[in-house]
Amino acid sequence: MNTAASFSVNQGGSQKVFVRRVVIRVFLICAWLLLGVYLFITYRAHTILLDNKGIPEKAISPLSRIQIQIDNQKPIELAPNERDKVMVVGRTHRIIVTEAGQTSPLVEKTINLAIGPDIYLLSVPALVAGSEEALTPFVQEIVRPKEEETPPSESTPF
Amino acid sequence: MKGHAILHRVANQAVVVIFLTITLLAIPVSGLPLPSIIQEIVTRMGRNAFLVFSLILPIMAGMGINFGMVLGAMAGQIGLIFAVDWNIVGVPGLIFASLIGVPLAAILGALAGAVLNRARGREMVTGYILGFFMDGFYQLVVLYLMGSVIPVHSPAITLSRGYGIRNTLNLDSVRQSLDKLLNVQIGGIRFPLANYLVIFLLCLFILWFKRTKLGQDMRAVGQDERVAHAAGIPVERTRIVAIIMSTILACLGQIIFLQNMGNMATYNAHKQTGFFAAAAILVGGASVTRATISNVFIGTLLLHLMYIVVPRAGTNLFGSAMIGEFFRDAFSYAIIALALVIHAWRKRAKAEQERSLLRGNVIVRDGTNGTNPSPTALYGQNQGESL
Repeated sequence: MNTAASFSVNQGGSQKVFVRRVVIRVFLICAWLLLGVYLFITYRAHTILLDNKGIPEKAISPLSRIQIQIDNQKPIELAPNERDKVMVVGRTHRIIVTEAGQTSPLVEKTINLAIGPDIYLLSVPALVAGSEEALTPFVQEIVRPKEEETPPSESTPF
Repeated sequence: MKGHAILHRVANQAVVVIFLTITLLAIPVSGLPLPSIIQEIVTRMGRNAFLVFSLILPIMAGMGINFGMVLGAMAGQIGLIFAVDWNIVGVPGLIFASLIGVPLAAILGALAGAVLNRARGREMVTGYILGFFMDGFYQLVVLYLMGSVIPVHSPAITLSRGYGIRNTLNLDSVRQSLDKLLNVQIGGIRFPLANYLVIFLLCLFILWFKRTKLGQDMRAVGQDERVAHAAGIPVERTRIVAIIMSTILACLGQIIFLQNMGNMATYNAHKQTGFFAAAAILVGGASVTRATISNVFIGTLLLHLMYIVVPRAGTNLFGSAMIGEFFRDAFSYAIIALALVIHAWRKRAKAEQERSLLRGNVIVRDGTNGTNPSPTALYGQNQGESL
């Protein structure tokens, strides 16, 4: 009787250990995945092309010399019909557009970037005009070499 | 007798002594200024030491040098490909690469461990061939499946045909992110402190791990598998765990190594990893049965000191840098061969000693006062060697 009782107690104990082990492993896997998702969302870098060209279809003309500041980065100065690029990390960014030599901003706006696209085109005149389509994903056309690339055979130094 | 003892010690450290002599002779010939040599050493130690550390645990478990560590290096590279593909920048990019690489390394390590358990006594050569086998599999995945079956987001990293990863991958998004995290300049020398902090934490982990139950099991398995089995230690499982841990450390080490380099030779970067790490730890005075943290540091320092000065010495002596490069490669491979030969020779000598003891005909001397050692003293020596 005693042996049977201790056997059932042991069985219950090992079951508890098994359940605890499974719970810990599931928790670790979830934490691992969540950390991956967090890093992916928070630290994915995007390139924003800042464009100071006019959009004739919408009767938007280029702005005179302007300064654009994104988050805490160094302000970028753009003359009419000029483009520049800036790299940002994460999804939400604050953009301040100021006319050169002025202190009060023309526009101050927070933008949200979707995770997918690598490059965005930001039309600053459209942003100042309040257009909803100021920020659009920019599709890069890759010009591939005509010759087929193959893996090299040499080894690299340590 | 004192001379005999010194000779005995020098013979024990023959690899280190030979290597040190060659390197010290090459330093003045190279004509390199000392600060530039120190700067190079500091950078290379931070870059490579982690990889060399991955060899300690399998040696502790009696499995010799884990040439199968290239599996971990491949896993790290796959992690980096995804981090670059999704443009995740800086240290978080390295962590992201690790999050992808580590589970892959654990799976590959478990497979390698299971194979090595079936090739007991021939772990090193089996691990080496396993590395070649997995290299073929890696090429299949990276060259054909990535971009066709496995989604690759950025067309900039694929080959011209539209699938497969480019031969050389630009790691701009993570380039030297760990090196620059805590870069301190002392006396004109830049110290990548974050790298050294990571290495220091790994040292602490290894020291702590050696004291844990699993660490003690590994040491017991490394000393004598039959005794360990009789003591109730799950020998096969312990050996697999040692290989898994080594493969994971190799994965992390390769990520640290490549972030410092700043670009990745997709199909070649991992190939020589095991060989050079093995050369480093052996040059540091380790054997295939015994390795310590100090062996890692001394070995990485000496090997890279040679890598820095010998090509330049070759240029100055023969007017061709290529001759120096040949010297460098020849010495690296020769040192591995020498270490293996010395190990085989010691093993045979030890067996002969044990046989002599059994016959009651003691022929060895303890090397201190010329008297024959007691069996207990000899037992202590042998035990120390296998630890």
